[in-house]
Amino acid sequence: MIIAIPKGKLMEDSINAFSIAGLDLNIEDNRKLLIKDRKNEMILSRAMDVPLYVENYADIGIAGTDTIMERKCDIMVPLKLNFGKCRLSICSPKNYKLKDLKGKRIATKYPEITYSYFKKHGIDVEIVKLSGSIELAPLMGMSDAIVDIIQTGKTIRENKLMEIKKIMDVSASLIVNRLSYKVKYDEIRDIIEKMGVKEYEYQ
Amino acid sequence: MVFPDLQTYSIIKKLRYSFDSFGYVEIFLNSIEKFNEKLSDGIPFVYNNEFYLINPDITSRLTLKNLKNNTRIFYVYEALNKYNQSTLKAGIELVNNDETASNEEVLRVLINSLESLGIYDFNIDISLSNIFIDRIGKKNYEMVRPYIIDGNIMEIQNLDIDDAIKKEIIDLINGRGKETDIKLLNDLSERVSDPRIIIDTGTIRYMNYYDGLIFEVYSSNYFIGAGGNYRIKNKNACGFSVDIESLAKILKEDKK
Repeated sequence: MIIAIPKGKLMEDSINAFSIAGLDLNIEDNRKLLIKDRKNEMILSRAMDVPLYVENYADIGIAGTDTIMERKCDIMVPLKLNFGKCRLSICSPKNYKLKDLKGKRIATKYPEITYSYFKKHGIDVEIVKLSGSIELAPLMGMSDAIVDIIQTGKTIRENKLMEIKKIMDVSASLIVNRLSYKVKYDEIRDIIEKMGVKEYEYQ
Repeated sequence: MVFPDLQTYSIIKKLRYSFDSFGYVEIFLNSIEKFNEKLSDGIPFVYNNEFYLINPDITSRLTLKNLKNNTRIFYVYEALNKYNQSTLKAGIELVNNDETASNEEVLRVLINSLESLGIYDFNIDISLSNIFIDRIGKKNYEMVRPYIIDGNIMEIQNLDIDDAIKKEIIDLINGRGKETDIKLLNDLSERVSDPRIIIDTGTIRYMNYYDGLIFEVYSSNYFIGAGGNYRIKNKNACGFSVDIESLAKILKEDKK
C-alpha cells in the first residue's frame, strides 16, 4: 500500500488513524520524505499536496477537507475523520456584511474555494494569493479581508480581525485513489471500516 | 519524451490497424469549435466577440452531428486535461440502433485493440449510467450523489432517508463483482464472455450524455480509458477512448 501522510498538525493523528486500521507506519525520521518498509511505502508531503499525490501516485492518504476542495482532485473521500477540526472563514478588521465585500481585495491561500464562494453569492472580489501568515495582509493594507482557517480564533483576535462569515467546516478525511479503490478493493474497504468504527467510538 | 517518439507512433499505428480491421473509418475533427452548451470539456476563449472551445470532448461533438445508422468511426486526437496539458487519445464510436449488439461490438473492439498491443492484464468494469436514479429516484439521487462519488458509506448511513433506500445505495456502491439482477449487464457479460469484464454497479462516469452502458478499462497501475452508450439525435451510439500515454507506460513496465 502506498500511503500519503500530511506533514505538520495532522501528521500524528493521521499515523494513529492508520494504526487503528491495522497499518503500523514506522516513521522514525520524518525528515525522510519517502519511507519504505516491507509492506508499505509512505510519502510525507505538505498537507496541501496530499490530494495531488493520492490522485497521481499513492493508494490512500489523509487530508483536510479544505485542501481537498481547494485542489479539486479526482479522488474518493470515503470517510471523514474526527480530528483536524476547524473552520474556513472570512475575516476582516471591519464588521463588513458579505455584500459589502464587493470589489474588495481578499487575501487567502485558498483561491479556488474563495473564488467559488463569492461567485456563488454573486459578489465580485479581487483575490490575492498568499502562502502563509494571511492575517498580515489586512494589517499591511494588502487586502480588505482574508479567507483562512480558524481553530480557536486566538490568532484572528490577536491580529485585530473579526470572523464575519463561515465558509465551511473542516476536518481530516481519508482519501483514496480511484484506481486503487478498484484494484485493492478488499484491502481499502477493510481500512475504511476499521477507521470508521473507531471514529464512531470516539464520537 | 524521445523525439521522434517511436513507441507512441507504434501504439497509434497498431490501434489504427485494429480499428480499421473492424471496419471503422478515421475522422479528423477541427481543434477549435464554436461554443455550444452541449459540448463538454475544452478550453474556452473569445475571439471577435464569439465564444470558442479548444479541443472539446469528441463524443459530445458527435452528438451534434447527423450520423447514419451503422456508422463506424475512429479518431486519434490531442485532448487537454484540467491542467491544460496535452494527452493523446484514440477511440471509436459506433452508431447502431441495436443497443445490445453495439455494446457487445464496442467491448470486443476494445479487448482486441489492447491485445493487439500485447496488453492482456486489464479489467473492464461495466455498469449503467442511470442505475442509481432508476433504483432510488432522482430526488434521492441528487441528495446522495456527492457521497456516491466519494464512496462515503458512513455519510449515507447518517442521512435522514428511508433505510431501504440507504441499503439499495450501499449495495450498489459495494456491488463490484457481486451477482446482480440487471439484465443488460448480465447479458452483455455473458455475450462477450471474457473473465476480465467485471460488473461494478459503483462505477460512475461524469459525462452527462451517457445513457445505458458505461464502462472503465484499467490495468493494475493505470486507468486506460472509458466509454459507454449514448444518443446521437435519437439514434443509439456506443464508443470508448483510451489514453495513449497510459498504454505506453504499461508497455514500458511490461518490458522491465
